[in-house]
Amino acid sequence: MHSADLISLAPFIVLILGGLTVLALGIWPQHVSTRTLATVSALFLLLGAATTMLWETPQTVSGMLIIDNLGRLFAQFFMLGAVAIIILSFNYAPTKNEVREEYLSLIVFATLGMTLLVTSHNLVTAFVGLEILAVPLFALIAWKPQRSGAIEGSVKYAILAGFAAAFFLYGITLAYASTGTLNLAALGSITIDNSLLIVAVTLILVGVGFKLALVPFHMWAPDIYQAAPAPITALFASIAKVAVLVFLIRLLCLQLQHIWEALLPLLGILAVVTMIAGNLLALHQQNLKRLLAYSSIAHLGYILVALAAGNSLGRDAAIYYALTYALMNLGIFAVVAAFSHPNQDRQNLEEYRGFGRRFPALGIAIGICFLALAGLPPTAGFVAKLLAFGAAIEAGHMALAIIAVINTALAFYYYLRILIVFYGEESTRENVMYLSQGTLSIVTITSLLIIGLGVFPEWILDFIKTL
Amino acid sequence: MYWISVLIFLPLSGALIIALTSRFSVNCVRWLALAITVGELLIALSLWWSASPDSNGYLYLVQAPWIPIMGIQFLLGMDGLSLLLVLLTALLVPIAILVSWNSIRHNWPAYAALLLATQAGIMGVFLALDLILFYVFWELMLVPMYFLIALWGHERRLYAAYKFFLFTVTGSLLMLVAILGLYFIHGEQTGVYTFSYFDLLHTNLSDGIGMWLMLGFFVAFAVKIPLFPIHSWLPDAHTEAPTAGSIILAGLLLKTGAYGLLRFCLPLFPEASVDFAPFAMALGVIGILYGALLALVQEDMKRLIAYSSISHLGFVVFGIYAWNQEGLHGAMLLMLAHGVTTSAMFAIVGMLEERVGTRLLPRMGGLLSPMPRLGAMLLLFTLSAMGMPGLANFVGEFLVLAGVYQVSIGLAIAGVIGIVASAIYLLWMYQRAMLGEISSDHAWNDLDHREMLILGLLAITVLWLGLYPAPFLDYLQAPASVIIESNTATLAGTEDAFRRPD
Repeated sequence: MHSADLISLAPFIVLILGGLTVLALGIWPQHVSTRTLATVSALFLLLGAATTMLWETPQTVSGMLIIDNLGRLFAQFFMLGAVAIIILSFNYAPTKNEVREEYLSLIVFATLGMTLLVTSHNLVTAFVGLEILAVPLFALIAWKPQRSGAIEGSVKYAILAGFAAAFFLYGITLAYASTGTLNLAALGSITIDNSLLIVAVTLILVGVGFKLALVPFHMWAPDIYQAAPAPITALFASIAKVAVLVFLIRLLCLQLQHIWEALLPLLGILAVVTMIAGNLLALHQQNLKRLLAYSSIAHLGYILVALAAGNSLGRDAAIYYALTYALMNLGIFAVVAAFSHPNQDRQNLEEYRGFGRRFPALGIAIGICFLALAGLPPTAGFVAKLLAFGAAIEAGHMALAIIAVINTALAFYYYLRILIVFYGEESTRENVMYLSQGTLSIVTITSLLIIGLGVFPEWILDFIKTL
Repeated sequence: MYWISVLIFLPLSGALIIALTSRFSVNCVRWLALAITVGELLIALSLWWSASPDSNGYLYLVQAPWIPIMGIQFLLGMDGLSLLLVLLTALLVPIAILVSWNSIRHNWPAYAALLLATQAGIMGVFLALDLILFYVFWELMLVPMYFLIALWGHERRLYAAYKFFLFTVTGSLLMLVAILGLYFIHGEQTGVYTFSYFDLLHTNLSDGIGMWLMLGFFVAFAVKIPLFPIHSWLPDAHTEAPTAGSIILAGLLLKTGAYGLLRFCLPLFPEASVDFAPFAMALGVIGILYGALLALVQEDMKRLIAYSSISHLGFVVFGIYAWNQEGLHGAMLLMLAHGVTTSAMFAIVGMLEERVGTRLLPRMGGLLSPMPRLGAMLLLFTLSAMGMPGLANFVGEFLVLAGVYQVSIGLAIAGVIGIVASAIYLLWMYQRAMLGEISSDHAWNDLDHREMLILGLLAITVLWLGLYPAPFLDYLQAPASVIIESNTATLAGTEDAFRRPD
């Protein structure tokens, strides 16, 4: 351990300290207001994001962590995303008095898990990161357990996360058994044909597939999207999923490229099944949160189309898509959180009728988020799809690209259905709703970013190309 | 000349301003939208005034990098064909706003914003010469149009709007695949990855791949035109849309499909298009006859005009794939004529519906005597639509038939049958609506000043196009000859027919 490593580890240390500080403030003899707690945790997250600027890239820390630009980009992204989640939670009516030190520290720890996951350079670190991410989520999904379905959702997630972890661990052991190392660089340098390693990575892919809700490991997603409070759904639908995805991209595209090539047919099949199943299940869904769960399954399918291309454009597309995907889902679930009833989320789509008209600025932001999910220009969702499908076409997978665009066309149906409800005539005018400034600003910032990244994808593409 | 980008960004920013500041009163929004679109028309007219073509027939070009990493540029160009279609767009959108003046009763700010956004998209489609930019505008015009139908349409508006959107978006996504395919093939051949139209014109394509890529484009455009097997969205969308929506759909959106064929499908894939031409002409002739036959039996006036559009656009496809001077000139001119005539007819049907309360022909009759001005206007546009000499459509149809006659006498005869059928259904429509016994003793209001202004403007255009089309044909000379050259280049086996205009 050198002193330089300390700089590399600074963000992790800041996050750990942050989580502990918030917990300690909770047992402070005097009462500490929720606002103070939220501010402190947000400040620690921002400080963590700031310390990543000090990183000297690329370097590894004791073979366990890799400090590089990809890790930095996403570490910052996760920490800022977590700040957004805290703002959403703070203004979220159903858990009004329940957002205290436990809740906030769990979010900070979950962020630590994500950061660890995307910077892991060793399969064990990755596993540790994955678990640090998963365990806070069990608790957060069931937050305010008297809500209907909260416990059920949380237990379901815990069991399935256990399965995922088991597959993941089995993969790790097989990798160790076949090569004698768990270091990603060492694994990547093995060029001899090693079929056991392929099996090991496939098992890891299954474990990751559970977390990403790829078909056929997607059963948990709709239930848990529905059960969790909207800010927590925003957390695991956007940044938490992206953390796992970035780990997968690092594993396959950056480190184990020969395994990636071997797994391309499997990725292609997964992509096709995931897209088709996700879109078909979403088609007639009336519950908005469940619908969004299916739509994000479909989006993971499009990302897999990019990964199944197996070229550098596919890798760039997957990274760009991951960022866009997180932004879009963050925006959408921020909207769901903004419109919640005093004690629970609005579930049925019809309950949102006419809201787009009642709140013009928010209405435009909603429109942007949904049109981005649908993949219409000039949003980032379009550029992401353009890159992903372009990668497939460059690799010569014409059939895959055509299946993907037909799926995109299919998806338009349900996104438009949602938008029509949002902009339709209101049937009954409810009493005046109060929208908090914090939530509004999150929605506005995300939709501006979505448009910005769509009109000027250069901002981020140039950077991604150099990774 | 950056003025042609103003054509796109003026309505777009107008739409944003109106949408975001929802504080304006309805009247204020109406006048603001009208002012923006009239300003747009003035810009378009001044561009026409000051146009001077370069060696390749492009009057204006704007080129700026957009996403250089992927070879995407902000490349706009205006040749004679674009110019005339831009003028048509600039004319029809203010008319659409005037038509909606009193008939749209709720949520004017959103309505005006969507109309302006549609206009921006259509302008972009007619000007974009970078394939991704073109695709962006192609989708951009779709979304607001969808909302116009779905939120302000008639009874079955949601069904119609979904159908319209899903048909079009499926076609355009297949076009996106074809665009990407062309991009990578060109990139592999030359090492230059670009979406620029002028560069992609040089791509060498093997027969099979060229045909598939051409079909990708063709499907997207065929849905919009619409050609026979994929036309079924059109009657629903036209019937259910508000009057202004029908005007924009029939007057402009259908033209984007034909424009796409002329601008992209033929020049980018000349070999494949030559091989495909007989099939396309067959689809065109089926469209002409099938549209005419269905128009004969319609009771709903809007539906009748919608089917007549399928028939007329069949002529356009006919002329395009005849691939000679007369055919192409005729097709281009017919696009303009159909845009003006059909928009006027939809506007009149909208006015009738406001007064009579129905679009069904059996419940009308004898309306000429209480409303002579409306009756006279309808007669003028009906005669134009059926191809009366001296009015707009005649020149286009005549030229198309002259072009097709050189290719195949049989097809030309089929086309003439379509014209005869159009005379039957249109005159019959006029007779049922305007002549005969008056059905109720309602107090009828004839056209007011606003409506006379709308129809007067369109009537002048129809007469101009019919009596003195030479100024328009002059602008079509260069675009048509470029397309013809691409065909002879194919036949002669030379690739140098196109030169990049710098």
